[in-house]
Amino acid sequence: MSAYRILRGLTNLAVLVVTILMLFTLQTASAAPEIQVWETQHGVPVYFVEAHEIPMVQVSMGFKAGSANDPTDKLGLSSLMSQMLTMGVEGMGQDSLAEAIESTGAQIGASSDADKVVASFKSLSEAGIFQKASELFGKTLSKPTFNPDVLERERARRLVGLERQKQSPGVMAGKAYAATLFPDHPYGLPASGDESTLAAIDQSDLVAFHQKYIVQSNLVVAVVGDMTRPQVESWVDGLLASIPLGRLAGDVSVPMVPAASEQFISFDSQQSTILIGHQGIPRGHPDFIPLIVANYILGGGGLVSILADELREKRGLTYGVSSGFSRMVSSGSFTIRLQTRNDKRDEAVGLVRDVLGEFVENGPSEEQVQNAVKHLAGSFPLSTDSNSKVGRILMAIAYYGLPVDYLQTYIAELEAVDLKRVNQVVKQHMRPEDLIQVVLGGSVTEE
Amino acid sequence: MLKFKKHSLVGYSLFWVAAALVLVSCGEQEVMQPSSQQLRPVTGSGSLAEFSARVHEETLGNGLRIIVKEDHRSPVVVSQVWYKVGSSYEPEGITGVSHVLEHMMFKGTDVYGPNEVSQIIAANGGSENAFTGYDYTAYFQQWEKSRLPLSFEIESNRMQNLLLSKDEFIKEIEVVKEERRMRTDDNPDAWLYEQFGFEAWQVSPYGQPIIGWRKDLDSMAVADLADWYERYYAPNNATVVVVGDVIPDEVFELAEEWFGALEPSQVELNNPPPEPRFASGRDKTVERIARVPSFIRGYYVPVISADNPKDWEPYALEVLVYVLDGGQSARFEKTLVRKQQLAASIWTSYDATTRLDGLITFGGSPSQGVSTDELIAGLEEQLSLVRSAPVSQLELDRVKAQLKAADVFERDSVFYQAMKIGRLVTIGLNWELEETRLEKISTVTPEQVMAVAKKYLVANNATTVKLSPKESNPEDTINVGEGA
Repeated sequence: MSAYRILRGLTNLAVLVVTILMLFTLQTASAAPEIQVWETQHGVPVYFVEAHEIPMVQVSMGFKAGSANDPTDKLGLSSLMSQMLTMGVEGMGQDSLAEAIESTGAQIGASSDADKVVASFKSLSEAGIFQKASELFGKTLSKPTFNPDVLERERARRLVGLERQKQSPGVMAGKAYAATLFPDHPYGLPASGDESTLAAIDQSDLVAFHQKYIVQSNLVVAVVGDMTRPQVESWVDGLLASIPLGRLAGDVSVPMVPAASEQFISFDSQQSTILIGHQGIPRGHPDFIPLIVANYILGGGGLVSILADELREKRGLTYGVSSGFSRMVSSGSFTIRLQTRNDKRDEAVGLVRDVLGEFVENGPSEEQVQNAVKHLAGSFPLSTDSNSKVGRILMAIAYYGLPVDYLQTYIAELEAVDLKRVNQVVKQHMRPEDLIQVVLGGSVTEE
Repeated sequence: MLKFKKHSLVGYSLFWVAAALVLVSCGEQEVMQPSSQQLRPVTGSGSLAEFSARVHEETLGNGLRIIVKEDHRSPVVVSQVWYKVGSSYEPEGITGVSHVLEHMMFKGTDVYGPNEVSQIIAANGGSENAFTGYDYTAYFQQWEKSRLPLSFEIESNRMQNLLLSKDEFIKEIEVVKEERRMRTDDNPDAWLYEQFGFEAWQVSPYGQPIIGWRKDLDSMAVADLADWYERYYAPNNATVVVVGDVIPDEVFELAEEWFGALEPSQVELNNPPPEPRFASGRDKTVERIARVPSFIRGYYVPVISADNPKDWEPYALEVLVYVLDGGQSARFEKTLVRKQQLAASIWTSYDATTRLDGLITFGGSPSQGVSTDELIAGLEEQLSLVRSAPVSQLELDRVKAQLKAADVFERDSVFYQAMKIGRLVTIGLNWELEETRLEKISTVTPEQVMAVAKKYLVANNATTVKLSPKESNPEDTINVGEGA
């Protein structure tokens, strides 16, 4: 995780304050969330944006503890561990813990993806309330009990949840697509686990996973809200005192690249869900910003993208078609997704492939690139107009080690993108010859 | 389609989205808001003055209402235009017409070509969308604050100059059918909700799905839309809500400039007769290809009424909902999910701010090895407890703490602040109710909670619809095949 490398390299910079200037083309404005960054005595990076307008504080703690760390025969471990952090701590069963948390009005929880676990905490900043709630938050991280009875119950509920997934064409198509895109790799496996791997998890697995991964060496902290820098510093130091230092977890391996393929899955549904794409760029790739521009034009721009125009506006084939790059630490994906009625799926698949082929072959127009840049730069203020949005961006900057002036350079880099650069990244990162295709749907005679 | 449900990845709790919305967005399961319950928060001390001071209202000569709330944290603005029309205004035979018209509002006017509005908004760095509910249809843009005049330019034009081209309609009605397939027909939870609404409401138009019955979409014609547009799209049937980094007087001037010249029209009142009460409860089982059994039960209840906004019953019902299902420490999670382990998931929904009388609804799926009827029996036991004894002071204190915090958290979203104002005024309530109702909720007593439970949560006031999963044809079940 480059966040650590960058920050730990900056040993002399105990305090690094960067003002994010929101420079955008339409109108100058000066909303400037100021990101303050420092390290705790044990080197945990803390990212903080001070915001006193609303009496609330929100905290995200990102641990390098995602489902990519699950043993293959115990898939679902990271996710179950995260969920059970709030289901009982030393000295408090689940009932009394829930009662104590909710009587403060605070919200405490944790979730897991392939790369990371994010524990989150939102509370009023009013001193008495914040202190009480944050003590409970600390206990969920440092003293969870993973009670075996609770584990049994949650496992059983999860099995019902897995059955519910089987009712959802979108979920089932997504699982098949991920498995094909990342063969024999954690990114292709379901983070929630399956029937057999959930059955293999016991309390000792949860305890061991927690001990190994929920440690300071794996941690970045992001705080937004109604506190001052000294308050956050001492609060974080206090919170971390009960979290062991541990060791930094290893990196997720880089997945092998699968050959192009086409797959059909029969499913009782009126629509076919179509996923077409290939592996994409990982976090931190230098082509990301020009690719955002390219993808916006192709299928990222809602109703104004080429795909939406061809499939929805011109032909009424779908309610939603989109394309996107999803990025993780060691790889990523480029995916076009849509649903259409079963008897139109072949036409839709053909069109998608034609549109992509044409886009790669000839590229967008100068005007399309300009409009995309205008939109992406102009909409930038919307991405930081609330504490919760600032919090999400802050976590991404902190966890993936983006430079602290990322937001500032983002606009500058965006505006530097021209047609030539777009054509270059399109040819490199959109590859019609490598497409994985998953179609899940019913028979064409239905309706 | 009436409401969206959102589950966590493996489907623990089902969270019902507060507002019943159909979005015209590009297929993401975008949902508009957050808390699983409908309870409106209790604010901290002194917030009434603070809130009121920042909300400003004016009405133009043609009847258009403009409501502005200042929020100067970021240089952005959200502009929403709310029309008093939605699926609950629709007569039988053209259900879904409000929503289809909402789609067509992006397909061209005398000034803008098809989809051109979206292109203009995009090129100006805006995000836009629209949504249709039972009681309203609304259009919005969010962008950097200097773009507000463009919102008014676009909305004032399409309030009265829509083209409704037949060529565009023929394509767009297919898009809406695709939307219906995605949201309802291929989603057992949404499909059950539609079945439930149909069963529960015999007279009230809330029994019709917002997105419309498929047969009505099949027979819909441009003339239906033209008639609907003519009837309801007028300044005297709309409210403009603006929240953000703006100065109210400037917004009013701008509104006068863009909307002032629009002609008002005669808007018919539409007041459906009240739903008759049944002599006995109704209970139905529907079969469908699915994997997980589930149920929905609803009880007829009043909502906050414009004629009698001081009636305490809706507020007591809101507190009741929170006591039963307002979080992990509430009774359902504690007892039905954890102690008795009857429920794999359970949810509760009540919206006190609707135009017509509503329902308090409960739903869920049983744990493995438990039948739906056993789960319903467990639910009934919980309801009998709130009927027979007052809730504890501890529970009330917890609810109030949650509401106080939720109110503060909600102020973080500019969009949601506008939503709350727009919804209230569009169903005929005053936006100031947002404050008085908070005070009302905080004065609800344990005895009042018991009283509404006793009065409304009774067997002959209930409709239950259960989904019994049916195996699909073995050849059609999920089997991975190669080729295509």
